[in-house]
Amino acid sequence: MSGSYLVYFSEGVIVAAAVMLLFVRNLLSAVLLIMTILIFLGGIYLLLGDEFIGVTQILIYAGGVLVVVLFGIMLTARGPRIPLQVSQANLWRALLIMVPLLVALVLLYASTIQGVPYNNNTRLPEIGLAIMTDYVLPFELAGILLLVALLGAAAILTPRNDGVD
Amino acid sequence: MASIDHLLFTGAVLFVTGLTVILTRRNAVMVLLGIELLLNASNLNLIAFERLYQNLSGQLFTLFIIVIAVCETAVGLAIVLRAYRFYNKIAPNEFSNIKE
Repeated sequence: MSGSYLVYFSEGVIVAAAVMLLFVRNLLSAVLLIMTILIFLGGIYLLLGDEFIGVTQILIYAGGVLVVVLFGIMLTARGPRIPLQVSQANLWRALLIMVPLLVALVLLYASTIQGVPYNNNTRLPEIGLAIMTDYVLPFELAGILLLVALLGAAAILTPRNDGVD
Repeated sequence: MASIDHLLFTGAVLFVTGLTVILTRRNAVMVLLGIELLLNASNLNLIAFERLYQNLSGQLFTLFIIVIAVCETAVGLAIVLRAYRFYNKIAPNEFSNIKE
């Protein structure tokens, strides 16, 4: 089980990046930390035997979503010479609520399902069959949803010439 | 044999981090990324229980959640850019016509 040590390592990286994310001031470093979290999550999925989900995660999040978000950050920058800082409001008060929530979640998990074994055999052919047979309607609906979201985003961003904006 | 509890702990850390980012960051793009972190925490939990019960629905739900997250990011980012052009501000609590 040498793979399980890699899973532990990935989880350590994810937790460290998540804690750093709370305190970092630069917007670009925050996005790169989130990219680290998402890529290592994809690595965990690969190590657990969910190859399809892992590849989808890395392709869509690291390749698609975060590039689009970086464009959004560049388009909303205040100016070319101003550093991309983001201020935080009420960080300590938020942590005062969130740390007990985290402790409660961890205690809940630790008290109920500790030490339940899992197996990490791959189920890639079954996924392909399930998408094309039992889950073909949600699959097609997801395609239509992507098309509608694409058109909707383009329609929202198209400048109107009626003097409103 | 490994157990799934550490996956659930990581998911809890991701969830709490995403919620804190949504609550504290004064930048609408960062709020969208916090929502992404929440969705990824739920994905990790779904994958953990899919490994536990050997049920294929977990992976397929994760796949559809990823697709929906992409749609949410595209439309949300378009709305954020539109609001930035309108108000010339990026902090979400400044998206208001009444407050000066």
